[in-house]
Amino acid sequence: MRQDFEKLFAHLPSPAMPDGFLEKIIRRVQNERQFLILKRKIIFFSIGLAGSTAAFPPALQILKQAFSDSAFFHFFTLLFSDFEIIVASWQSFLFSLLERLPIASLALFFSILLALLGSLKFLAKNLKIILQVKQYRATNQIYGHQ
Amino acid sequence: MPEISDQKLISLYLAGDEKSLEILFNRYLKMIYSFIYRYVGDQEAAEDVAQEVFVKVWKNLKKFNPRKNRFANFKLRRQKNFKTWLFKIAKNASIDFLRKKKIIPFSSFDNEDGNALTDTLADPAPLPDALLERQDLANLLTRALAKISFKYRAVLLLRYNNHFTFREIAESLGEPLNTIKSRHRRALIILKKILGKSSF
Repeated sequence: MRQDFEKLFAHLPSPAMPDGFLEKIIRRVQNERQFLILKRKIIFFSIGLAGSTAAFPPALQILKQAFSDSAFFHFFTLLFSDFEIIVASWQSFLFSLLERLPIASLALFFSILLALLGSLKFLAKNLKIILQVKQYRATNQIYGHQ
Repeated sequence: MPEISDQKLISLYLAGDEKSLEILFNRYLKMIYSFIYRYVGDQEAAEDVAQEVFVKVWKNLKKFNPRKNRFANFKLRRQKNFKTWLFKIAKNASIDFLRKKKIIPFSSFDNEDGNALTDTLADPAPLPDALLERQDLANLLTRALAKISFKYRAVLLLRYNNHFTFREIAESLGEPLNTIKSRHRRALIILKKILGKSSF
């Protein structure tokens, strides 16, 4: 190390750091972390949306098929054609009706529907935030600061 | 109490200790801010770039910890020293910023008569005492540094302001050790010449 230059550089004034700079950086890191988590969730829910959208028509088909196989609607229409008999033995009728219900297909259909609606709801709510942040970063193209 | 090493702080942070990141960042904050400020020459810009640097560091901390992550990027695995890695990011971020701002690296000194001068690779003679005793030395030095091109300025700042070894400078700037040594010598010559011109 050149002593004369070291002595010279000892005179170099340090620029004053802005107040609360460390806190600002830590806050920025926290924001970035939240943004990253949100982005990961959006990827997860986008895959969920694509999967549930693709699975929806077959699930609906399976449900329709299961209802027609179980003759559920035949039993159900008795409610309109033979109402008095049904009222007289409503407990047996209800039990038979429940017995005919294609539970597995219904569960499959509703879980896909829930996944579809849940993903849509999440994406509609959060995609806007992601796009706004990205747009903000693009327009304030120094480095994308908060 | 002995100071906790950078590597240890990183490991602690990755294990869930948030405070370690603050300690680690605080350790280098002033150094990095000053380094960037000397590069970009503007307080607001330096603040922006420094923030970006620390965010980048945070994003890559997992990859930096080579013992924990076998799949880490090869370049990062080779990087052993957190300090030099941090300065490397700072240098690159500053250059990116200047490129985006379309501030072309320009040194009037290099372009006018720098070539003839930098061909001479002998160490410059010691600085005159009269220069070191000048009242306006801080101002003179600041102005002189602003005139030197980025690559020379970085070497001088890392060497004499941050007290880096040549090896650390080479690692920070991503250049071979011998290149840094000769660049350092040239930088001294250039700085001395500018100071000599400005003194009178």
